[in-house]
Amino acid sequence: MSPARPRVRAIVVSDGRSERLPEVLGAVAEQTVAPDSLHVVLPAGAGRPDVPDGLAVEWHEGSRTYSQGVDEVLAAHPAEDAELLWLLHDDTAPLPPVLAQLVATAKKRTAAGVVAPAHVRWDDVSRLVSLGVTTTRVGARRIDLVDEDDINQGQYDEREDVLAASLAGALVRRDVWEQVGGLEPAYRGFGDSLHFCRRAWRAGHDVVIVPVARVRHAQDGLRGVRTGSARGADSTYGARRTGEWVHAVAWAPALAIPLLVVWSFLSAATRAVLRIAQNESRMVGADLAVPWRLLGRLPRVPAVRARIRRGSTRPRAAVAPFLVGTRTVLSTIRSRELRAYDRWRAQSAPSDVVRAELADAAARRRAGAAVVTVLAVAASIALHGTWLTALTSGRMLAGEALGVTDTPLSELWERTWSGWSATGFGSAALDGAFGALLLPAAVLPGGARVWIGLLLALGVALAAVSAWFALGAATRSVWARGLGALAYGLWPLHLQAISDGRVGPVIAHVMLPWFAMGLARAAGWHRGEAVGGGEEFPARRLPSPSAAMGAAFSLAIIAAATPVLLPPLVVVVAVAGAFAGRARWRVWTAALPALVVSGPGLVAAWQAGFTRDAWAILARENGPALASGAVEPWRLVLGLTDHSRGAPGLPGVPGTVVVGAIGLGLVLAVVVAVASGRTPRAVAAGLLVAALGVGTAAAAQATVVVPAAGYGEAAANGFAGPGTSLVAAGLIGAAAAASSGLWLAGEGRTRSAIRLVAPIAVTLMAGVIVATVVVEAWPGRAERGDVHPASTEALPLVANLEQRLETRQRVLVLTDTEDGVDYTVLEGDGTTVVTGRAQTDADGVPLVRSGTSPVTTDALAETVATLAGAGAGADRQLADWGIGVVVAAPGSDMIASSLSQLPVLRLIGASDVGTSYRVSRPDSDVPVSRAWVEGDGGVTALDSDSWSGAGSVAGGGTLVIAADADPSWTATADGVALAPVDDAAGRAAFEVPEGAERVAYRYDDFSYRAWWWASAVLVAWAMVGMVPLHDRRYLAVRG
Amino acid sequence: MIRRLVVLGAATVAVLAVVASARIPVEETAVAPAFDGEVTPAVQPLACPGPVDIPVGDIDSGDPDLGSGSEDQTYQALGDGSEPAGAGFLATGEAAASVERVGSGDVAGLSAATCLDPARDQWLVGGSTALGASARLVLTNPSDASTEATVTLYGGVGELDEHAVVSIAPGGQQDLLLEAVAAEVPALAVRVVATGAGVVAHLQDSRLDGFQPAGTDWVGRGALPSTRLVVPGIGAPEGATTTLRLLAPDGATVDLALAGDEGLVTWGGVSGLTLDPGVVTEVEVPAIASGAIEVRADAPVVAGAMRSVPREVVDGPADAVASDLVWLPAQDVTDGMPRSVMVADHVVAATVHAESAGEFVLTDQTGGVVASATLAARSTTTLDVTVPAGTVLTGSAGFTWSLALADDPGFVAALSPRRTDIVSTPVTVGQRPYAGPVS
Repeated sequence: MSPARPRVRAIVVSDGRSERLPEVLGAVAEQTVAPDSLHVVLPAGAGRPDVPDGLAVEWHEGSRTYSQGVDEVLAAHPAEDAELLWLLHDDTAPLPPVLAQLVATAKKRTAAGVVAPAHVRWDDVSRLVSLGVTTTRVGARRIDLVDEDDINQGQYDEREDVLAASLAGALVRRDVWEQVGGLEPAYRGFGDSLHFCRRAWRAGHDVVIVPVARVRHAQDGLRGVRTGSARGADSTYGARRTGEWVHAVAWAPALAIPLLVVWSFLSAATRAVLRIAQNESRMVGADLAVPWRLLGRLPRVPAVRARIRRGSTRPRAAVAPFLVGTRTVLSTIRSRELRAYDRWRAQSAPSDVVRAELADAAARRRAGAAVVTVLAVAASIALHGTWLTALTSGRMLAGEALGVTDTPLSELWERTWSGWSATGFGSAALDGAFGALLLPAAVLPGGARVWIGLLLALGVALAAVSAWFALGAATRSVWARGLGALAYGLWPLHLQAISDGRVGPVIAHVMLPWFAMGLARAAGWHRGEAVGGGEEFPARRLPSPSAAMGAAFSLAIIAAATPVLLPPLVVVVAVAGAFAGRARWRVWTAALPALVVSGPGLVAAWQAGFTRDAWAILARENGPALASGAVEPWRLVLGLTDHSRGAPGLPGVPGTVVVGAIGLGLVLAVVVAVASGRTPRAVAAGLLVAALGVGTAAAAQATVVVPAAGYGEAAANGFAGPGTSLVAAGLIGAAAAASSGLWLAGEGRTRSAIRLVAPIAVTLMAGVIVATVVVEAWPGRAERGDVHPASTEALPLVANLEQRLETRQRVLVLTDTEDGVDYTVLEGDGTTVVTGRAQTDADGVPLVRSGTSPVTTDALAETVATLAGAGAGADRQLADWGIGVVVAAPGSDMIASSLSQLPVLRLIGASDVGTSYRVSRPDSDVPVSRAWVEGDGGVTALDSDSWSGAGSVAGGGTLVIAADADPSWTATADGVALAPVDDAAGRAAFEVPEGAERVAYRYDDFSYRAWWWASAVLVAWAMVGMVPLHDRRYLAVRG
Repeated sequence: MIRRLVVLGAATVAVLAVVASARIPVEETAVAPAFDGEVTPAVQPLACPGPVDIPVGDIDSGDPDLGSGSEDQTYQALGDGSEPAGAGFLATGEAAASVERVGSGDVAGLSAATCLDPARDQWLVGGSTALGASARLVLTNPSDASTEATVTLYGGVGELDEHAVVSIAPGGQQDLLLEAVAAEVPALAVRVVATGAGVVAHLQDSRLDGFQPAGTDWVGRGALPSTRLVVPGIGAPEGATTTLRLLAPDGATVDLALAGDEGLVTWGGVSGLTLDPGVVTEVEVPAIASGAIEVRADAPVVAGAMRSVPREVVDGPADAVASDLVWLPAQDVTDGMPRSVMVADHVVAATVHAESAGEFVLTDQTGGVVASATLAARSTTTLDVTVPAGTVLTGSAGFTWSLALADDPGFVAALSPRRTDIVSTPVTVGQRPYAGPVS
């Protein structure tokens, strides 16, 4: 740069969308050293703003981008010696001495191509916005060299050379500008300064920052003001992030580009998950779009790289010292987080007195939680300790309704993934939510046997602990929380559900408190810790997006476990949202995952119209179900069943009082709460929830939800338990909310009365709870249900092995009865209910296939009668349906001896779990299989699992799948789809052409798959979103 | 105020919810009906028990009059394709029979047994384990699979605690001395429940009166519990006694009638007879030359009759009386199916009972009429049978009848015809989940 005074050409380019242009021009006018000329570039047709007196402005029109605007000015004015361009935006207002300071530096630093000022906030010049920029070695992350909003105390005044700085307000040598070719259009305005500066360095020029020169920068473009976006800086996030990636691919070695593109996808996915966790759901799309936008800009990259190559005189290593490594990146992120945390702490720091009180409360709370946990676990052990020992010794829990629980992961997975329920001859399933719900149990070490067993055995403890946490949102009284939690855990119908093996209602009872807590916190209705004379800390509780996601997750679980609770809980969410003020959308979204998870059921109910059938579908039982006696609604309020028994040794006390003691206590507490008029809205909400619960329970128990479609099958009505769980939650919540701060309530005599009565009430309730455990666990008292520990070996090993082979044979189990024989067709080791029901209507037709007439195991009844009479010809139908083993249950001697007489059945083993006979395929040596191709060349068995299979065949024929001919079966031969053919027995069959070599078949239900993925995505979203990342801290800072 | 109204309103809604919920109509949860199937068993061979056993064994005292055994012994086994099964034999065809004549010793008398097809559930009304009596149950398994039979005994005090479980190999035979199971039961009824294709049960009833034989005969399978039974062939010479043995598994009230050649014969004090569940009841039957007992009950019963015919003892103590006995199983009159029997030596007559008026025709296997008679309702007749042994006789459907055997010196026996149709039995088939063995 020449030592002569340089000529400064100030250029302001405006896109006409910022209102700050007059102020910018004013700031230029006030410069202590005026620029030699001032050019203002406006878009075509834009109105010219007022110009301060005495300021000579040369107007230009018609630019589309910033760089073009500058070039337009330069084109009109030939270059002069030592000409400097002062590039100003229409939202950058330099403080008066800026130009003087910049020019001084430019004169001093003769090698400088760019001399940039510090950017400060438009409204507060003491706060820094930008003071130099750098990037990582990879180049895909822009690193600001100051923290945003850092207070400028001169701490950066020593800074001179930087890799880059914002060109807004910077002096750029005209020859450098022209040499570089202006701003790189591939960046679309974000990241082009960094690119320009980096190119300047490589072209042999320096980039110098002048920290004392301060330019007010409103960042209208970055904050979306120009586009009119209400989302602030978030609106340009995608564009900025894309710019960073463009920078990376522009500067990276050519070989690394594909790697960077792949990396951009991975990075976007990771950031998307992080966004979900931070509950910035709108940013998920922006992040996911980044790699695609990068792909869109890739065609322009070769030209950019060519320009870099041509224009560089310095080696790569010249800028290497400016680039930062991983450590700096991490420290940048950490300092950003720490800053947010510090600001949150500064805003909400408790005083020392409050801090001490909080510490006391925390100690009390922890002690309370520990005591409640210990008591609840003790109650569980007292009630079902034998189950725990049985589980440790390798046995499983089983029962009439529960079936077997030693379900392998593959069985659960195939059921939920395929949508094909393998029960009986198989049928199309409505949804796979229940199987998916229990999938984690099968994944964990120990498998479904241990975890379903523990869920039932520790059901009381789990529910009590859940309720303890949830009640923290309603009251901070440790006593009220503890009693409420134990009362909830020992709710009589919860005990009934455990003893009946009703896995769904047990899960729902455990999850309901979490849902309630999530909802309360999502709306910001939870209690703060009680400090001082009745105040709470923090005084203002903020709604929590993570809690809303937690509520959404819990509701999805509840809806999968007990669909009957979906309608009332959606009503609860809808009403809660209406009262939640600004958090209403967060609260309402809590219903979304549950609605999608229940989507197929809702559609089926909709198709059934406003009939009782529709309600039966809504109230369906997905897992174990059992007929139960319907009781009057007031009994439901007390959690009673139709066989509530009295206490041993107290013949005079009716069962209603003994079993319903907890319920009676709760009703009394709520009556007092209503009379007291304390926390009226919480009490009213609790009562309304209880009312919903009573209605749900009564309607459920009045409806047959599992129809008895097959011969001798028992129907089941809906279980009242889930509805009464709502009753319990509502009553306990209402009572707990009213108890909040009771100790400090009233004055004088009232207060003394309260302080006298409260301990008595607490003691009485504690007594009731202890008595309940004692009565329920009394030795010799009849069990509530039939769940019992059993050996995991339900079928003889030989039979079970055949089920697991590739031939996937079914097993027919026969049991003697008084006047005949009972049978069941098994896919696995015993009747499995925990994979979820297919859901059929009263005629046994799957809900998703209404109008069809599928083949059910009813078709076997006559064959079974033939077997019972040792008649001939039964083997053909057995083989036709893939039944390879017939098992006579232990003790069923009549049927065993009948089977022994049949020459076509071969005895393959007798043990104390049954006598097994092998069924052979008539007229063929090929073993019985799930699917096979039969043609002129004989029979070829295929390798199968419960819903698909494949195998090599020789020649054509007919592919027969020993399953109901559902329209969703598809088959291919060497990749070509096969045409279905009618099968006399109603099985799925396809015509295999001559010359086919490999045949494959599968069950493919598109709408099931669509619902499955939608549910999976939403539930995963809710799971990630409920991680309490930042959350309150962030909100306090941002909101 | 508004706060209070909110709470009270909510409380009202809650109470209303409880009241309104009670009005929801409740659907019944039913169990779907089971499948009513029929089991038609495969045709199995007929089985006969073989010769009678001497309860105390063949004791040779050196004096033929005192020995338990006998030199004078003929055993006739009649049936197609006979092959041995234990001491007995199996036969194919519609009918087979065995007749044995023992001239002296403990088991002197005529013993006839109709060969039968296996059954899963059968009742044998007869036998005694009182002092001097022996009841030997012979279980024959003509099928190709082993079977397990559970033997339940009934006596004068009802069902006995003692019971036996016997396994019988395919084509095998097992003996069971009932006095070893339950001694001192003077009037027995035996129920045999077997697995698989079932089993053929015969009961050898042998009695001694001091040193004198008091008769031996095979107790055959009677009709399954039914409300309408007939015991034909009651007619007896002077001096004979006839006893009817009844048992109602679940208790019943029965009316008994005695039909003779001229119609019903008065029989006092036997209407409205109450049978306790499982208790074996014996009723003395009036002497009649030719007749049949009609049993009509309000609940299913089983029945059988025993006739004891005394004879003078040759070469014995002066007042010694020996006798022979014959067991007549009850037949079900409600099935309306024809019955067939194999004629053996010593057959003298057919005794027929008509439930309703009609013509009874007895034909041989070629269809030739052997004998015929026209009967009035609820009357009996006796037809002479003179066909040779080995002839299979078939009677008209709707009649109950049996063949009477007699020989000197006062030996009697009877052969009951059997239904030749394959009886299918009802079986209820239902579906039930299976979660493993019940422990």
